[in-house]
Amino acid sequence: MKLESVTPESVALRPAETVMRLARLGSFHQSRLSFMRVLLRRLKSESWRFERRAFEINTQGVGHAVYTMHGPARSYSLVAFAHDLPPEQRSDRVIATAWDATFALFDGLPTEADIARLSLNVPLQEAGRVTSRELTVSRANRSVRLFEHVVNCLSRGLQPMAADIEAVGYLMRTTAVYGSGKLGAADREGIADRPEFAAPFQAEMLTVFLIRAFALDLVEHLAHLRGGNKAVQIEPTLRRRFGIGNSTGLGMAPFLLNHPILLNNWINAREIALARVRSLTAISPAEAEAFRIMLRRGRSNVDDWHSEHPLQSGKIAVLKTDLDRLAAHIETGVLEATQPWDTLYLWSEKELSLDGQELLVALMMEPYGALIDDLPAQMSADEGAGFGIDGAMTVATLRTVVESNYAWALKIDWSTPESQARTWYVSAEKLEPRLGERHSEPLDGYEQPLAPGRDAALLYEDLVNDPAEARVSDFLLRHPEHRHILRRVQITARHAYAEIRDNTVSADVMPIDLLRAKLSFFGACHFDPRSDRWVRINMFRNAPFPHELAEMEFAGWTYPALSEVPT
Amino acid sequence: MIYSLNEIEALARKAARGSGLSWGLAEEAGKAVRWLCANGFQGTELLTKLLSANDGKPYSDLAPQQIDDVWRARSGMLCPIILGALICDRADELGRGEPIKVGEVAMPLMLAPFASHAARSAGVTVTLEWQGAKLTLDGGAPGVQGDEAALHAARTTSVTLSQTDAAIFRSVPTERGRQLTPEILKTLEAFAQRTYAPATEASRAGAGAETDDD
Repeated sequence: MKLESVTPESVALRPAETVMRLARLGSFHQSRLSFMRVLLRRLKSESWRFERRAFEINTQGVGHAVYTMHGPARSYSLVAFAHDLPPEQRSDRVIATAWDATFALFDGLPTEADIARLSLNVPLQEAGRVTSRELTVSRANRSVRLFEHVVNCLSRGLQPMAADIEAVGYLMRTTAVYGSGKLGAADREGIADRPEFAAPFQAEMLTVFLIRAFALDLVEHLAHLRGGNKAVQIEPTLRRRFGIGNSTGLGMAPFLLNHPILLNNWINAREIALARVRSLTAISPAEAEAFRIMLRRGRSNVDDWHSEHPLQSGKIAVLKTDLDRLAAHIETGVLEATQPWDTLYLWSEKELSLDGQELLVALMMEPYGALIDDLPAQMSADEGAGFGIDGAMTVATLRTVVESNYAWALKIDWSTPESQARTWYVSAEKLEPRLGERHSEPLDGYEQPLAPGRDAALLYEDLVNDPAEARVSDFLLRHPEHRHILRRVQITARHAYAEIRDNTVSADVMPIDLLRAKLSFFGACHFDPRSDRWVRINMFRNAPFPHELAEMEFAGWTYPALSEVPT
Repeated sequence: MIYSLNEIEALARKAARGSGLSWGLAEEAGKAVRWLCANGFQGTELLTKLLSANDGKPYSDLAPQQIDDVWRARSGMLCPIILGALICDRADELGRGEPIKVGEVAMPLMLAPFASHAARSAGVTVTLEWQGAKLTLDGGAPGVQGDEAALHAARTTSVTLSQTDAAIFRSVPTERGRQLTPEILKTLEAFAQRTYAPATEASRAGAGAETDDD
């Protein structure tokens, strides 16, 4: 099925009131549109070539390595520094000051002088500086459990047990991947015109993809140093079971609120993809078979998903029931009906949990690369272009925008303590966003503008007291305190999915919902919340390695292989 | 040391907020300083001087009011960020050919990013002019006339912003704007520091990973 053969209008996009709720955003799954999958599709279709240009690491595990991907026009090199970290210094917190390994993604091929310069800065992370030749800065810690176990097995000539790999899923987890000008690195605007960076977060995803390869090479290298000729490498199929872990905490939570147009473009692309699939009038037998296989592989992926967090383990259990019911339902002939995907989707809205509905959305897209793979190119955003305020708008018009896009916020009684129980602020200690108890902590005057619902309600109170025909420019001259939220309100008039339509400071807000929404767009899976405010995930699990891209077929690589399906 | 534009914008925004501007105006300050630095001007230095001079002054003193067609502060000099936001918000008037006349204003160069933005959104070219300096702006790289001292003046008694059909002789930006001295960095960070809350034990708990043994 090709894009040209679809009437996009035949199924409307889901309304923002349905999509932009925290509970639904917190139930999103990775999909074809996720940034990791966009990256690997490009590396494959453009035949990017991998080269390990340096690997100089001693028996203590200390040294450096350079991993390069050569593209059609440019090359990018991960410069990795491996360290000998005493166990008492190993911390995933952003407040850590030492790591097992540190990395920078270099724009091109680094010289000896570049590596020498980076060696003085990258291991220091926040305390160091990089330049516009670097695109990202990152660090990772070993999984103590699995790393030593695998080195030990391999050094004695044994393969690690699949069950042991499953239990952790990765040898190293990143604790930050900084891009977009952080620590002096290149600004996004300096590289945004390169086709390989058209989709969001491609430099960050490339960094993580190469870190995963480095982690596996490192474990095999250390096993060889320990075991000599007895040592073996990991069998390739087993090797691909290792992803790269990541710990993400509150620091990332405000991102979606701080990038409203970007958020809109991500959601909009996903909703367009869904509408295109739902618009299809019929399914070919090959597409139906591809979907059935993806459903089984999707199920297998959920079976591999473990969490001790009561809320998450409850959601996984319900999701498994959902998938059983979905598998039974598609055998009742629904795929042979007219407009089958639309029918199936509408069935899911009534019968499945939010998690089940959103996994179905992702799985429905799988057979339709030709129909939707153009969309990631529209997922980037120039927030600056939407920054300006339309001062000529009248107060009356602005009121109607608030009434329509913030109806949910105007319904909330903001005078109750629960409605504003929390407050977002930045701590002086580590300059990281935190969520505090408004009524019991001394946080007055430190609130970050991350409560758009409350602020829209406050704006509305003043708008109703202003003359209807007054200009926004005059209103703002008298009310500079509303300038931030007024800008957001005007953005929502142009971008329907720009605002999360839920209270972000209520007593029951779950920051992990914000984290999961963002991470699902990255392509993460196996979300494992450790509290309501931080989460562990797995990235690139089941993916090919850089040296395997050319030979391997890897459509739908995220889902554990049963048998491959056509792209 | 050279800073990225993202770092400069974030620091400028936080510093402006720390100085007492509302979040919305602080965002304008961040974008303005970013534009200045990207175009080779010493935006961070101008902001440092401005925030230090206006520290503690209430918005009502700095806010523009129009008297006989001229925008003036109620007391003392206009703040170019507050006035700049007003210029952006009145871009439609500028597009209709109505000039904006301004009385005494601090750091007039800080009006340039706002005038540039207004020109782009109105789809016109404008000149921003004060004693010894003239910028021609259409949203792209600016055309600049005037010596360093006039351009980076700490104040001027009047500024005119009006439509023009003059061609722009665009200047080529240098990296100078992205160079921050330790003194400027220290001052801006001190302002930014005011937006950070002292950490408490309660807030530290649960913000991120605690167990590191697996």
